[in-house]
Amino acid sequence: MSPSETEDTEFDEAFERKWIRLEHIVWVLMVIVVIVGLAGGLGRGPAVRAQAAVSPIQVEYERVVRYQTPTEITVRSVGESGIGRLFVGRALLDRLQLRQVIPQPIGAEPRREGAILLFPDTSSPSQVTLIAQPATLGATSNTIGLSEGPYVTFRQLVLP
Amino acid sequence: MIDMGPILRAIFAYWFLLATLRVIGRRAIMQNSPFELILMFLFGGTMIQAVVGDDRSLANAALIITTIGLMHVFVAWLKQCSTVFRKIIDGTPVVLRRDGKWRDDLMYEARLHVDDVMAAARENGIAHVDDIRLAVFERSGTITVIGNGK
Repeated sequence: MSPSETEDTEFDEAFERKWIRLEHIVWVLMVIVVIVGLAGGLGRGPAVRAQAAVSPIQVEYERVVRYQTPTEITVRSVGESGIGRLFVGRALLDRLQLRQVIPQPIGAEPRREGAILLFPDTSSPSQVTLIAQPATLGATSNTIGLSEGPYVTFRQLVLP
Repeated sequence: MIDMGPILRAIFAYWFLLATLRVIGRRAIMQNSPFELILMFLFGGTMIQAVVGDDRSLANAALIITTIGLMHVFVAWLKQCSTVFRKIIDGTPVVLRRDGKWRDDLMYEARLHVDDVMAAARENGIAHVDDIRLAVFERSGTITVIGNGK
């Protein structure tokens, strides 16, 4: 036996071989995570953009959003009249934390289940963009609509 | 209500970074070239923002550092208690050359080149590859070289 074969290096070849196999599997998983991330599976990408509509209201949103990261929700009125009074549900106000509304409403009427944003009668917008910054994790069900209805309900998942 | 956010984020960050560094190979912790050093800067800089969040107070920083410190003590204790856990966290030293024979398969998997071993050999006063009796890629990411004369 050669001198170095008797030296105790603590080299465990069987373990290292198993670990190398595990490393290779994890590398594949890492590639998958990056691809899913690029597609938007972790938020902010084409794969998570969605639309919900109940005539004459159409809502564009992201199915998966990130905690404390701004997300846009676009509400469109496809009817002849614009959006004069927009109902925003409680979950959107509290859990997603509405930060900005474009165009800026002239006022708001609080309701038990949310709030109604008021826009000037003379120039009711056909599109309103809500910018929210999720403040809680997990799935949330949001409701948006005209004050007199109809209402659109959609779900969003807030990732950490 | 108790805000567990910073503590949970610090614990997640600790394990996530530990697991990532472990699976990308111990070469990453050698830190003797810009190629490896850049990982530490980017990993740390990216993770710290998510851990700290929007609370930049000294109290939050102290809480996070204390949590990470405790995680370190906990992992060190687990390593002491369990050989299997120690191997998972640190790996075992990998013999790269023994008695004049290179382990090319292990060198390849460790993403090391003979030049890396020779750099370590020169630090030990060994200038010729034939004078290397034993070369070991240590758990710490360093390469130990023992010459024929020792």
